[in-house]
Amino acid sequence: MRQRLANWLVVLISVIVLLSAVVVAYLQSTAG
Amino acid sequence: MKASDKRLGVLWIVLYVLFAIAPLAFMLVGERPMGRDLIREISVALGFTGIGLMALHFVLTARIGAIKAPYGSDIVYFFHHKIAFFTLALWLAHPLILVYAFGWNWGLLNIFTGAWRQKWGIASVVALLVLVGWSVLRRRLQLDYVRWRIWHGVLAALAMLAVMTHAFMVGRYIGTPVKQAFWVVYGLVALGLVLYLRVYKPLQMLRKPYRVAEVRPELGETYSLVVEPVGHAGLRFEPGQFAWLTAHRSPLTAHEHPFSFSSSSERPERIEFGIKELGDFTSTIRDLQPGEPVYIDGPYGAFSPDRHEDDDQLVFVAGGVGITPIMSILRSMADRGDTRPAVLLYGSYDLEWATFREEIAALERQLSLRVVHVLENPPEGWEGEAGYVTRELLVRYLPPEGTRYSVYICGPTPMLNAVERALHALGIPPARVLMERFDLA
Repeated sequence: MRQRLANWLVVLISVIVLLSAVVVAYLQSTAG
Repeated sequence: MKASDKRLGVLWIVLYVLFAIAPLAFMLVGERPMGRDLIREISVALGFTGIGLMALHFVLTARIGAIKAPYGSDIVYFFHHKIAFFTLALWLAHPLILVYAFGWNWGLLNIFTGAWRQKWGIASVVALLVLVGWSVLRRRLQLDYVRWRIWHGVLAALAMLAVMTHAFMVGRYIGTPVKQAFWVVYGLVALGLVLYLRVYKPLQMLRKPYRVAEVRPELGETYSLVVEPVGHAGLRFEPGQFAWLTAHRSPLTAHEHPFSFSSSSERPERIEFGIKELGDFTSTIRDLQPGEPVYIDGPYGAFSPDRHEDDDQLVFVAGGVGITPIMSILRSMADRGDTRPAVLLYGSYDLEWATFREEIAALERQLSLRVVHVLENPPEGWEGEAGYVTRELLVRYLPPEGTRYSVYICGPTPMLNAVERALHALGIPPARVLMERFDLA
C-alpha cells in the first residue's frame, strides 16, 4: 500500500515536472 | 503517526516539487535570450528539470533523519529507485529532442567531434545510464554490493559535475554573473551532500567507535552482535530502528551495511544487532572477536511504536530474521514496564528456525504478550498455526473493532506484500500499518 502510494507520488510529480517544463518552454519560446 | 511527522511529510513533498522545477527559473528570471522553436525550448526545459531531480537524489540518499521520519527509510529508497527512471528519461529526452530538432542530426551525440560543452553533456548522460543500468542489473544478477555502492556514489557525483559543467558552458540561460553564481552554489550543495555522507559522517563515526563485546549464536543461522561504546555514552535510538554498521574496516571505505537493532532502546551502553547469515558480509559476523572495533551510523527508520504512542494495543507480524526489530521493541517494552496488550504472529520454517524463540517465550510471560508461531513445516502433532500469515489467520488474532492499534510487519518481501494486502482488504488504514523492508539499499 505504501509502495503503491509512493508509485502514485512518482507519477504525480512526473506529471507536474513535465507540465512545468512545457509551460516554461512555451513562455521562453515566445520571448521577444 | 505523530502530527508533526504528518506535517513534515506534506512539507517535504511540496519542497521536493519546488526544488525539482527550481532550475526552470534560470530560463524565466533575469536577463533572457530571444525565444527559439518551442521544441528546442522544451528540450532545454526538460534538461533543467532533469538536473533538479538529479540534485534531489543526493538529498534523498543523504540519510537526513528529518526527511525520512514521516515515511520510513525503505519508502524513501523505493521512491529514489522509481524516480531515478524518470530522471534518466529526462536526461535522455534532452539530447534526443535536439537530435530531432536539428533534422535527426545524430552527429550531435558524437563525443569525439563535439564541442567541449557537448562532451560534458554526453559524458553526463553516459554516466547516468551506467549508474541506473548497474543498479538494475545488481538486483537482477546479485552483483557485488560494496563495489556497486562505491561506484554508485562516484558515478552520481561525476554525472552531476558533468551536467552542471555542460549547462554552464552552454551558457544560454546561465550567462550573467548572478546566474552563474547561483548555478555554482546549486551544484556545490548537491556535491556537498556526497561529502557529508561519504566523508563527514564516517569521520563522525571514527570519533565515536564501538567495540565488539560478544557474538552470540541464535536459532535460525542468526548471530547477535553485541557492541559497547568506547569513550562515549552510546547511541539513543527508538526500538525498531536500524543503523549502518561497519566492521573489519574503516568507515571511510564505505563498506557499511544496514541492520536493525535487536536490543532494548533503554540500554544504549550495550547495543545488539540480530544478523542472519545471508551474504558475503553477514557470513563474516561470526568471525568478529571481542574487542574488535566497529562503527555505527544511525539511528534511522520510522518503524517504531514510539511514533504511535496513542496505540492501546500492538500487533507484530514477523517472518524469519524480520523478528530482529520486533525483538528490540519487545525488550524495550519489558524494560519500560509497558503492559499494553500485544500479539506477535511469528512465521518460521519450523521451531528450530524461530530466532530468539526461548527469550520470546520468557517475554510472553513478562509482558501482556501473546505469541503465535506460524510454522511452514510444523512437526507431527503440532496444534498451533501452520502455513503462512494469511488474511484468515489475521482475522483470528487482530484486536476487536474499536481498539486503537498499529500493525508492525517485518520479514521477507513476499510476506510483507501478502500481509499488507490482507490488512488493506480487512480495512486497516495504511497509516496504522508499519513495515520494514530489508532490501532498501
